[in-house]
Amino acid sequence: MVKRFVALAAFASANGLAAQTDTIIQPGHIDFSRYDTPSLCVAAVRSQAAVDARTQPDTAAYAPDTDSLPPRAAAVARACGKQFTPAGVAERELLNLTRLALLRGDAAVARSAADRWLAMVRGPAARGRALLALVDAYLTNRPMHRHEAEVLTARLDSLGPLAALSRDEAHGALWLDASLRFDVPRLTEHGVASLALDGHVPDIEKHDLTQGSGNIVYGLIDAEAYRSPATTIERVMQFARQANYKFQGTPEEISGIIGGWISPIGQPVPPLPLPFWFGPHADSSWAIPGKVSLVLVESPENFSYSHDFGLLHRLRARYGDALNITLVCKTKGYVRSSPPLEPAQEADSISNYFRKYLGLPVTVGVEQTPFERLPDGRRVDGPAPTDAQGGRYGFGSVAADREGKGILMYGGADEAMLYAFLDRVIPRSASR
Amino acid sequence: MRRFLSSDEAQALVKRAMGLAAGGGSTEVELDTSWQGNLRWARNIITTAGDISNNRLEIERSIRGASGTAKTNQIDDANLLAAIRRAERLLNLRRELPEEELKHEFIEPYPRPVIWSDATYGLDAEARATGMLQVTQSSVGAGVQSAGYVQVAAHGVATMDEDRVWYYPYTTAQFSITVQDAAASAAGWAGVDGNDWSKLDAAGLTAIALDKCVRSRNPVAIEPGYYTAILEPQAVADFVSLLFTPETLDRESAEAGPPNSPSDSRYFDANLHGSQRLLGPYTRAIGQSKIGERVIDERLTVSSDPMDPELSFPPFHGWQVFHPVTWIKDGVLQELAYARSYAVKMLGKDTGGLPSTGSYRLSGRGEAPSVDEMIATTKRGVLVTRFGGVPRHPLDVAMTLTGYTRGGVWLIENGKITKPVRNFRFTESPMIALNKVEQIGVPKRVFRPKYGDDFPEGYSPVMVPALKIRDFNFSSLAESI
Repeated sequence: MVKRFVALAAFASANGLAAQTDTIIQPGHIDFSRYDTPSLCVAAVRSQAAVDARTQPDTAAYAPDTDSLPPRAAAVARACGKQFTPAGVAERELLNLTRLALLRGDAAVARSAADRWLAMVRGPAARGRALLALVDAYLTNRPMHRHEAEVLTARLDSLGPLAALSRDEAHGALWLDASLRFDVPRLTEHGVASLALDGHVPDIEKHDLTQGSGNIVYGLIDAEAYRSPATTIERVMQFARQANYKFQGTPEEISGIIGGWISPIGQPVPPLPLPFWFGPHADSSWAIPGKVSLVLVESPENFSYSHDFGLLHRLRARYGDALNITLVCKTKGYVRSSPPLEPAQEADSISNYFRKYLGLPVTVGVEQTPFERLPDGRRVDGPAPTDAQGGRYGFGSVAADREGKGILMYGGADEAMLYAFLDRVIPRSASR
Repeated sequence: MRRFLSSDEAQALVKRAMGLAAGGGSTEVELDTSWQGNLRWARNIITTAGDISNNRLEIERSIRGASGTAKTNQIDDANLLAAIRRAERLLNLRRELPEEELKHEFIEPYPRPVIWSDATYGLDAEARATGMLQVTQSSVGAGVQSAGYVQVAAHGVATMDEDRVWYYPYTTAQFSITVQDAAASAAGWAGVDGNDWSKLDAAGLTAIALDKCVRSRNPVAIEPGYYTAILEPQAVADFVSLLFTPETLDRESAEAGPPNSPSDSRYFDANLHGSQRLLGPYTRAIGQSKIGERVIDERLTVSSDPMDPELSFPPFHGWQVFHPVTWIKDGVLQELAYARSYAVKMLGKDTGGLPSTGSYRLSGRGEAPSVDEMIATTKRGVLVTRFGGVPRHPLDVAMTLTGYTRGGVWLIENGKITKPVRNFRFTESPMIALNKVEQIGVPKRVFRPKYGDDFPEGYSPVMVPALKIRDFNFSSLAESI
């Protein structure tokens, strides 16, 4: 074991040097002879991929069918994994051999290892877990093998209620993939299947599910509202009946809530009455005729997106002038480690930070957060106007189309979802 | 020969380090350059004696908001370069945070306490050995075994960047002696620390330890239970110091997060033994501290001041200046410690933070009886020299602690010490005990074992009075002497 650690350390050290000097590592020169099981090689590949992700973050849009491993991680997979065959490894290593073969791009070996792995598992629950592990291996591989994952999920479904937890998890994973691609038919199919299976999963095991039913329901509402606002409530209630899903409220109450969420769709968007505006379209009528307009609301802790400011540059590069972005921030009395600031000074600092320091192509609106002081001197912020509007202008809610009417933003702040949605509402011909 | 780096040498070292940095950005260095002389003895024989010189250097490299830190105690060019490259490799693995470049430090002048003693710096190996020979000879003469140690040190603490050099020298001196009788049935202890060795009365402390040992012979076991306890200053410090550590006095922890987020699950972290302990003795409720409330006896005040002539400590740590603070006045919690970020964000004040070093003076109001006078007014009680084995984390939210008496324990009956007693284990909360105080003595400087080498944690001098506390819970007998 010690020798393995030494080998790993030498390997990591060599990679660190490569990152420093930008020299391409040559994994063929690394001695993988002590990596004598597929699981060790899988760990080595994942470690290398994690190092690559840290040093060279992947900022491309989500494209799982064509995404590949970073070159150095792929090289490690090829060099380390060439020594294994399904017949030559212990049974307990067959799942990792499947993963390793997928990482190496060897689908035939992966299938053969997966078949052997499944053949040795008995009983529906254990078989369900094994099939789920394989679904995960195919879905999380780069590039993704979605077709195989769906075929395996169909086999998983044939196991019936005894494998409900694994089936639920598999459909949840496929739902997430469909959501990230904004594939409305698929996300509907897998979302409804997952909800239906929730009823067969014991309550205590529901905590283990990666995708909660709430997320899935929100996703279904967003997708239906995009597809056809007029029939959204009816369709969502129909899905719930189909899946035997119980909302926490009467049908009338739930219909009212969903109706409220989607009511801005198709209506002229209301102005944002903020006291401080900066930038090219600096006023409360944030929807610019002829452009798709997007409002991003910062959290009370300003600059929470600062780690992702590159996203705004990427949006600019992708959609150019066809997309108008407004960033809404709130005062909180200071900016980072500045001294305490008056609201106007703070708004100015926020604008300078985003527009001048980071050079972001955005309009900045700043709202003034009301606050009071406790007897011990501490500041307690009250709700800001945009809070009162329920975050309706944030990622995952409403944007305005070129006529200034509300269109539903697809849920979540994920970059992939954002591209998937905007690609549909901004024709490529309109973007730069 | 100088045994640690001077201010000029420290500056030269930093200039050298900055010259080795590559890739732009900024470099910040914290330095603790030190000499320490020590001597230990056991069974009346000197066992070890040594001199240690060290330079603890922490180098932080920051480029575009990403930062990496490396430590070294080798200050030649090759090792400095290696440390800087290590810091730079680390920062390369970290996310850039451009906004951190806008960091706004609060720089203010720092006070200049006198915490340097030539007598301490001059106590070389020969002087230490000669002095301790007298101590061991007096033990031999009394027919007892003694063990203990002397430690003197000189430090230069420094914080430096491209624009500023803050450097402060100080000395410390410690003396501790434990005496056991030949039958190993009785023990006596005495010890103290300070900045000036010439003010530490080693001979007097040795005499106290010998006397305690002699008076502790043939202890009797008495029933454990609730007794009026007279705690000598050392026992008070051993027992209550946990209430005044930087962690316990931290305001953000006491308030358990911002007041407008009471649903934060962190508040319910019940892991009281972990470093993430959030509930403490100064928490009133979720999101609310006890500032403004009476927390201990109304005659007691707790303060710290780097300029306190009897209790001074280095005036800064990093770029953070220490201020005079009254944490508790007449029993009422006045302040808790906070960082500059808290001052700006929560209090809207453009100031530095209000940090704690763990150093404190506990003092009383009104008449201050001596230990003998406390004994004279006690019908039945227990006199305690010191406590051992007190953990650094409490057992529960009431700050209950446990430990055992050491170095001499006696039964008091009708205003007089009547007999030595076997050691007890105690189970008591200092927060509760400081609300059961009957009499308060004169604060005295006590012995503080160092927890670590780093300032401020490792150097936190304390002055506390003897206290008479009613209904102190001596929960069981302890098999120690």
